[in-house]
Amino acid sequence: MKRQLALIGYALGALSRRRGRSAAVTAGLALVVGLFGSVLFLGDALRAEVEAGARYLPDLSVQRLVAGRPALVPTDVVGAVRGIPGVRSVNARVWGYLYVPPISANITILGATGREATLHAAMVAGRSLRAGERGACVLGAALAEAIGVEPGDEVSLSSDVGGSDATVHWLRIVGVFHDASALRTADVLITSDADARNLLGVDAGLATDLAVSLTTPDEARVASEKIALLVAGARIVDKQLLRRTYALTLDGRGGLLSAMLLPALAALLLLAWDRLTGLSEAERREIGVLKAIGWEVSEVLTARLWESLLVALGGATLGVLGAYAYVFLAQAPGLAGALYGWSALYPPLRLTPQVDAAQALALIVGVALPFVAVGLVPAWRAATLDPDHALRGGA
Amino acid sequence: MSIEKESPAPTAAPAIDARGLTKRYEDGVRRREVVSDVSVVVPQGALWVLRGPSGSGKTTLLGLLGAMVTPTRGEVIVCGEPLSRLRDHHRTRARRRLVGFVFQELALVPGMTLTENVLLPLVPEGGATNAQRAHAAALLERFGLTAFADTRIERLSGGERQRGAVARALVLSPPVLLLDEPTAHLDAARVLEVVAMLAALRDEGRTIVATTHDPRLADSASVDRVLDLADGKLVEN
Amino acid sequence: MLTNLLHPLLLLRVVAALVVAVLVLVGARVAWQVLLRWQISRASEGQLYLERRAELVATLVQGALVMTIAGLALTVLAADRLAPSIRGAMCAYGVFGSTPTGFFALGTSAASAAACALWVVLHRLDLRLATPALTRRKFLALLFVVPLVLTDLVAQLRFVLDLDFTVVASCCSTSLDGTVAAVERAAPAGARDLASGVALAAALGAVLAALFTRWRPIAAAAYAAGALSLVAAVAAVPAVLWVVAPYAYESPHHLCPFCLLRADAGGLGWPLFASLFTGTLLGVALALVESQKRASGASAEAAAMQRGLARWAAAAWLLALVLAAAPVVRYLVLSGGVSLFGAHG
Ligand SMILES: Nc1ncnc2c1ncn2[C@@H]1O[C@H](COP(=O)(O)OP(=O)(O)OP(=O)(O)O)[C@@H](O)[C@H]1O
Ligand SMILES: [Mg+2]
Repeated sequence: MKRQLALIGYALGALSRRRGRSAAVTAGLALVVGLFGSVLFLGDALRAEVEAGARYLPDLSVQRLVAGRPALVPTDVVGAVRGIPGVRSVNARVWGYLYVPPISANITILGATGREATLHAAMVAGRSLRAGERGACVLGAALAEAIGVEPGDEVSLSSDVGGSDATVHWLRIVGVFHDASALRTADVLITSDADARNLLGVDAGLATDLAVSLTTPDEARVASEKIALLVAGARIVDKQLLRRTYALTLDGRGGLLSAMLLPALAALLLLAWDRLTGLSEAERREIGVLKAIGWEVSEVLTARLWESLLVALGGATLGVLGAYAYVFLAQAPGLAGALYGWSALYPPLRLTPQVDAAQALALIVGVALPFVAVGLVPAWRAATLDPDHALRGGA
Repeated sequence: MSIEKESPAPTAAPAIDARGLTKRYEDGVRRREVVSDVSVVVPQGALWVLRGPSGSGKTTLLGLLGAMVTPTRGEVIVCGEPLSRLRDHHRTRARRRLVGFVFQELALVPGMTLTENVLLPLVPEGGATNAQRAHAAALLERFGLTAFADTRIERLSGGERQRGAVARALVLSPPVLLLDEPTAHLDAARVLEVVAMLAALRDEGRTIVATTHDPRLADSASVDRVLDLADGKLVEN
Repeated sequence: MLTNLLHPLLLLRVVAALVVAVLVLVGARVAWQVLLRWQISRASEGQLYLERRAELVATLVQGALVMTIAGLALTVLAADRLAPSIRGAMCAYGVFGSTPTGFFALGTSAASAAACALWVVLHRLDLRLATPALTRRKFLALLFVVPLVLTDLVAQLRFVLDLDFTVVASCCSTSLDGTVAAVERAAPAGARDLASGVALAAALGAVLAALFTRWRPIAAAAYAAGALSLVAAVAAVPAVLWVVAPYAYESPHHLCPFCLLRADAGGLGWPLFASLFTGTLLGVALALVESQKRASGASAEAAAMQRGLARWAAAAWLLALVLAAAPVVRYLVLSGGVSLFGAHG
């Protein structure tokens, strides 16, 4: 232990005596690890967003397609669906997108189904809706900020029925909520079922979709099959399936990006190999001296390996920190688009720092160890230089 | 050729007992015997000088005596340790303990301070203890180098480096000290200083062998014995 | 599927196995050359050359050892982190179980790490000796490590490529908890008490044997430490399954050791399994050194090495015991001494 510390001390000294070269190799490593790390962190952050968003998804959502286009679902099937074994509850939901000219954006209107209790925790101001409360709404923090309103204010929205039928609805804001999952709730306005129907032009007896909750997620497949028989043209979205699809898409895209970075890593390892095999004259002399004054082969070897390990760990750690800053402080300019092409619908997405320490560690180790492994043979070559080289002044 | 024991030490083993040392170098097609069948016994507490023209194999023989050069044939026993018969890392460890070496080119590490250089042999043993640091400081003091303790090697004069190299060779207090051309680049006054220093170290009980082609060192009264080397062979004088 | 290699952790895992295989293969090749030319009695330039080649072999295998340990950790980490991508998999168990090679790959991972570690122990012992008495043996032993790391490479590749993210896996809650429930009916509480009792006794025994070896490195103590370590390692599987895991989750019917790796169990599994693995290896290493004592011709050196190993073996087993006891003690303190399994447990 003491011996290792002394050897580390020597290795640090040796690195600082050749600080130009050490810095160059460290920077190269930091760059490559930084690129890998950015992909990894961005993937993790997006995965976390998806997971957080999935909390609000029902186990199954039943939509309907007519002639390949989305259509409204008749609510009279609710009773039948509720009767399917494994189904715990069914909610007919009304929701949709509404264009708001003043902010030139689509917002999501959500009809309250009485199951927004989860929002209580997330209210940043005001309160949540009461059951059946008319003419009132709660909105997402990003939306409230965009329109510049707070609880107590009223917003006017023109309904989406088109032409002269369009009427203006005034809704009083009773609360603003915020959630870690920016992806899902940023642009949401929740109002009573009846107000939502008016705004979106959805007649009674119809719904946008059915939210089905199951007793256990394992029932999803069987229940889906039964629902498909009940609802003509049903398109059923399985939450588990959706989550896995997102996870796999992210993994796949992240992997593709990583694969494109592999040549960079290979180039770096080659550079390291070159650097480590081509001992400079000064290094050769120094090792000769060490051997001559009584360092064993294994001691010189260990010192050399500490040198490469320190460079590798230093570079990899710098790279990971750089990636963190790039993704979460700078919001990954340039890379974000490649990884989440689908989020154009939403207002700017603020990535929440989300780092799996184990993955970061795996990254550091995964780069550092091969880097050191590449240096094993060169280090051994150096360590077995004959001590009598020092006798005649090196060479 | 062999030199008989001069003053057999009854209790202790001789400092260096070399038997039939031969070193052959092969460079490409040529094969040269640089040291041929040298047997020599150096008693403890002696100051011997190895003299010979340039290229006669002095440095090589000194390296063989200090177990730094692996002999093609023969073996060397230092203070009773059969160094040539040990496994590589055992030999290195024993050598570190038994033999201090001052190289012709000094072999100090540039970029390090004098103190760092002096403490370098201690690193594999876990770094210097406080006692060892004090010992190193005392050595620097003895050789008049205290002022240069934290100076980098490249800023020191030749004489200062020379004494620094001796300090490093002594930091582990080895019983045997081998010096290769310790007076090579020194003026007359400095040569006398070096001779006095070697005599003092010998008087403390160390065994010293130095190579030289400098008559001022070889002919000094402090030297116990001069071995003449020609073409890798010892010659009677 | 080849695209599985795009997953960073899986890619890293395969690369690690590849690096290990290359290091060990190159090492074995050099070892073979050394074996063919080794002459023990001659101390010459040729001998020095061979010694340095030997040093190369050792360097490569020690590098491989570090990589196998990283690889083992990566296997578990990858399986643990991939669980959300496989339907039905709640933890690493489901991922390993979703392919026929999963658990086999975990086993070869552990086996090659253990083999490299034991080889390094042998090497360290050899280095301590004044004569190269064990050197031939050491290099011969390396030839047996080769098939192991190659098997591991193949197993990792198969596992990674076989992983299918479209299958529905059955996880710990169905396979493990179910089978154990069956056992429970057959031998209520008895099996549980037996397994945990044996594990506890063997682990304590391993600690004591190691401490005794440190005090007086005699053959009986060293062999006992090895044997008890192995028994404790085997008994630890049901003990963790039936006692540590349920207490950690505070649910008598959830028994999965792999869920212990997850954050909701405080990641207890990582240090627990690491110390179990280390303790077992060091215990076996004590026995290994003992078995080479006579051949080494320098029992004092071997004993000195055992003293060093024994301290760490005892420490590792103690740590494992403390970690395994922690959730049980915590539960008993919180519940005021009531067993998780009711009055009979
Ligand atoms: N590695 C080597 N390979 C081939 N020949 C060598 C090697 N090392 C030394 N020699 C040769 O061995 C001979 C003796 O060298 P050595 O350095 O021992 O002489 P020396 O007596 O110390 O000379 P000087 O007084 O100039 O220092 C020289 O001719 C040299 O060229
Ligand atoms: Mg010379």
